[in-house]
Amino acid sequence: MGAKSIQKHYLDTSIVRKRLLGPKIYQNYLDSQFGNDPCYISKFIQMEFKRSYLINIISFYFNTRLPTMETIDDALSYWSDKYRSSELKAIIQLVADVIKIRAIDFSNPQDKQKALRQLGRYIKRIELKLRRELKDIGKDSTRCERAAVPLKADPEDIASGFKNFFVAFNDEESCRKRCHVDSFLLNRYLSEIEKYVKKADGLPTDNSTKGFKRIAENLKKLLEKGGKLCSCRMCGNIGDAIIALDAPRNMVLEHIDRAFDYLCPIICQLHKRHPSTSLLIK
Amino acid sequence: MTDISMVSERDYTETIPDTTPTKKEIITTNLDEIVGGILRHLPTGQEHEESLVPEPKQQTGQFEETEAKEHLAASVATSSIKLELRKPAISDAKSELIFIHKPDPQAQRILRIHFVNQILVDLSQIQRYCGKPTAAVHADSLLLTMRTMEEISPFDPFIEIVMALHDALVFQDNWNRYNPNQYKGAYRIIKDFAKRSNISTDVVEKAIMELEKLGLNTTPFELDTNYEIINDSKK
Repeated sequence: MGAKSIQKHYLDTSIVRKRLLGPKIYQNYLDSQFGNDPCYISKFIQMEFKRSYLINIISFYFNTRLPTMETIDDALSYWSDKYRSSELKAIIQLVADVIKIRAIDFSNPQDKQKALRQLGRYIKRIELKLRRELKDIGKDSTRCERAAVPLKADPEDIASGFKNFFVAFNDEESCRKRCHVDSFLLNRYLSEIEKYVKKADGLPTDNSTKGFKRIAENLKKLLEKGGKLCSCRMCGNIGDAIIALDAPRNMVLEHIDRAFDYLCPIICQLHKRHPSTSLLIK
Repeated sequence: MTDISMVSERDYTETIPDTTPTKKEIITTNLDEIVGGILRHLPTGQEHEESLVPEPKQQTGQFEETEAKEHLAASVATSSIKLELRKPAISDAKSELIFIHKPDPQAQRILRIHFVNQILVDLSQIQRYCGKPTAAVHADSLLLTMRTMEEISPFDPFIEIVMALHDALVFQDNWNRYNPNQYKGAYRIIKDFAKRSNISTDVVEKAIMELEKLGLNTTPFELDTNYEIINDSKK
């Protein structure tokens, strides 16, 4: 008998997020699923993680750094009151934990610099783990320029490093000019995109299909209007399709999103849907 | 001589005066405090037998207290003019003055050796007492030394490695869950990397990833589960 081949796992952004930031129960679940098998991500998935998490926490860093925020309490209260989206609310508890472990007094203005140093180190470390803990699949089909923006922050002037990253990452116009997503979607994978659109047309709309249908609607607009419609915002809307198309066919695409249940079979991509946090807790 | 374990974080934070003093007064106060604090806390000669050896002069395996003090006093004296007054981050007069003491490389190296020696002693002891109540004695000392090091040398690149280990140990009292082999690995990493004369960003990243490979989670913080549930429900 030959040796059992090692299963390679290609992690969607939702799984990367659980792996790096999820509850302990979910991290243990993923360990039980993947064991010591190698886990891979792409540059595009790195970009999605940075867009949905790193940018928010860097924004919180600068929110705290504002001269008007005398204490950490001020910064947390302001953030909590001002921002309502779940992505922004979700980081409050985490940020408080990051700072709290240094025995920092949240109401003491003199502890603010210490808190910023602690938060800055955490941000650099989570970016490092994103880059180094998960293997790169070795191909970069979309040539996403946002994904290529490095986070380089000198400990002595961490804010400048964060700002440079923030500005370059959010320069969508410049990034879009240099990426190849239009060619990726409308040349290389044109027939697959057409299959997605056709498939969505024949599906009823319910909870299990709405994610896929939303993606297909955007792809349909893209087919009608061409590459000029490509933008970082568009990639935000069709990200799951890009991830599925870009996935190495010899790996299992690991995901939580239901959209992949429709995106993967059409292109013969192996995939596995994992439970949501609430299902796992039950 | 004051033992490092007796110095609390409070001792350092309280050096900032309550009333708004002149710039000169603050510089003097802080410098005296820093120099005095450093000299008080230099090695006592009771370091662990595997203490770090400053390169290249030291060959005996133990760092000499007198020599260290001489080096440090000279370094701090010559570097006192390097005290920097940073651009104010907060408009309040009392909060405006942020002093960054940057010792020259030799002084920074001496400080690093001093603190690392303490850290290595505690990491070594924790290995022996893992899972026992007595481990807390060394965990407390270890974490306090790490925090004191961060307060005194916040911009020593090596502190990035130390604080990565600190965070892995502190969150939810994880220090009590790690096993002797993990502590042994952490000991080796701290010792090996502290010896390096040039600690670049790559070196720091390599050290942190080595800690991670040992199973020491340097970013153990979790996103709010309730919001994760809301987020998942949209998928």
